Amino acid sequence: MGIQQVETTDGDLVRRVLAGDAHAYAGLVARHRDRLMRYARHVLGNREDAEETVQDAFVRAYRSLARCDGPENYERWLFGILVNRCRTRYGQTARRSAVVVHDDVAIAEAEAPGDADEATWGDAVRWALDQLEPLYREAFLLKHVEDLSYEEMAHLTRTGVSALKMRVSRACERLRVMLEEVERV
Amino acid sequence: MIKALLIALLVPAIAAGQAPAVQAIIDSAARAGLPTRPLVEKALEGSAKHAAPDAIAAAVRALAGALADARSALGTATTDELNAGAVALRLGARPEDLSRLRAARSGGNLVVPLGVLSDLVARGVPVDTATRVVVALAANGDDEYLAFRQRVDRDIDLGAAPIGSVIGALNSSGRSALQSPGKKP
Amino acid sequence: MSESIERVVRELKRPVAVSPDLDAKVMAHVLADVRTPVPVRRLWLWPALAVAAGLALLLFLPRGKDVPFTLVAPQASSVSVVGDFNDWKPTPLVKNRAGAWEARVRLAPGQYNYAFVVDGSRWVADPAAPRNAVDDFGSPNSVVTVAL
Repeated sequence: MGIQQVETTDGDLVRRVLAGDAHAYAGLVARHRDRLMRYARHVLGNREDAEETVQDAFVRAYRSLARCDGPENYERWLFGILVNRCRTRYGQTARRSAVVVHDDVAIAEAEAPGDADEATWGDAVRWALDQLEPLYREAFLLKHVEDLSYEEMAHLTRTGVSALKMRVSRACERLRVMLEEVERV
Repeated sequence: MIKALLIALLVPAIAAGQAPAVQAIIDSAARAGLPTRPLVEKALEGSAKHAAPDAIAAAVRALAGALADARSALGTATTDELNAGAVALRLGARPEDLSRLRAARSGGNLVVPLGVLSDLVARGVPVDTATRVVVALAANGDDEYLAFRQRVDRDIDLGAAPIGSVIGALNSSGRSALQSPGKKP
Repeated sequence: MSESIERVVRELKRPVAVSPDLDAKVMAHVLADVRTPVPVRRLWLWPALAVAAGLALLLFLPRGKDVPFTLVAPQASSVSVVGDFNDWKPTPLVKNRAGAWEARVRLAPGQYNYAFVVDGSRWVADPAAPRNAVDDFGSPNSVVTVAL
C-alpha cells in the first residue's frame, strides 16, 4: 500500500482552533489570504486599506469562530465578513476623495519588466474598475472574478437577484465602453 | 440601622471609614425610596477593582441620580427595571424615551427591552436609533427582542456597521424604524 | 460575456501582492487574545443543544436559570467570575480538557454586571456577551440579563 497524503481541510483547522489550538489559525490565514487580498485590493483600490481590511476580517472571523455556520463552510463565511468590511471601509475612505488608485505597488507592478502591453492593460483595467460605482464594482467582482452564483451574492449582500443582475450588466457595459476608449487612445 | 451595618460589612471601604460619602448616598437613596441594592453592588464593584474611595463615591452618586431619574420616567417599577433604566439613561437615553417605552408596553416588564437598548448602544448603535427601535418593538414579547438582538449580533459579527445592522434586522422583522411604536406594517 | 470583459476578468484574477508580514500581523492579534472561541463541535452535533447555547450566548435566559460562564484561556492558571450576583466575590471556574474554564451560576431574573478575573489580577470582560458601556472604574463589565 502506498503512502496516502491526507489533505487538511478548512474544517480540520477550524476544529483545531475551536479546541484551543490558536496556532492552527495560521493555516487558515495562509490558505485564504491571497483570495481575500485580491478582492479587497480591487474593491478598495489601494494596498494599505486592503491589507488592513483583510487583517480585520481574519481577526473578526477568529473572534466569532464559534458562530461560523459549520467548520467546512469557513471560507464562504470568512469571505462574507470581508465583503461587509470592505463596504464599511469604502464608506469610511470614500470621503478622502483622493483614494490612491495607482499606489506605489501598483506602479511597481505596472513597471515591472515583462510585457509592456500587459502592464498598460492592467493599469487601464484597475483605472476603469475604480471609476465604477462601488455597488457595481462589488457585484462585478463577486460574479465574474470570485465566480459566485447570484444566489450566493444575494445572501452575502442582502440584495435581490434581479438588482444584482442589473448591477453586473451595467458594470460590464461601463467597463467595456471605458476600455474601448482607452484602447482608442 | 441594621441595613447600614450590613452595607458597611459588605463594602470594605465603608467599613474602613474611608468612604463615608458612599454610606451617605446610600442612606439618602433609601430615604427617597430608591432601591439600595444596585448602589451597594456598585460600591462592591469599585472596592473589588481597588478603585479610590472618591471614585467609588462618584460612581455610586451617578447611579443614584440615574435611578431617581429612571423612577420618575417609569413610574412604578421593579428594582431590576429601575436598574436597567438607570443604565439606559447613563448611556444617553432620554427620560421621555423610557416613559414612551413604559406607555407602549403597559403592564409588561421592561428589563429585556431596556437591556437590549443598552446592548445596542454598547455595540455602537447611536442611542437615538437604539431607543427608536426598542420602542418600535414594544408591542411584542421578549422573544421578539431576543430574535432582533440575535440578528443584529450576527450582522455586526459579519462586519456590518452597527446602524446598518439595526436597519437590516428591522427590515427582516418587517418593520421600519420610522414606524410609530408598536404598529405592524 | 464579451471578449473585452473576458480580458478584464483574466487581468483581475491575477494574484495581487501581499505583504509578507500579513500572516504575522493577524496571528499577533489572534495569539494576544486570552479568549478563543467557545468550542462548538457539540453544537453542530446536537442542534437542540445549539439552540439552547445560542440563547445562552445572547444571555437572555428563562426564569431562574443556571447561567453558564465560560472563558477559554488555556494558559491561565486560575479564572473566576465576579459580579452583582456574588457581591463581586470570586466564584472559581473549572478548566475542562479543551482549555475552557466553566462555571454555572444560578441567577434569578434580572440584569447583572460581571467580569472574569484571570490569574487573580487580570480583569477581562466576557467577549461573548454584551458589554456594559458604562465603565465607572476603568475595566469594563459584561452584562447578563435573565428574562422573566
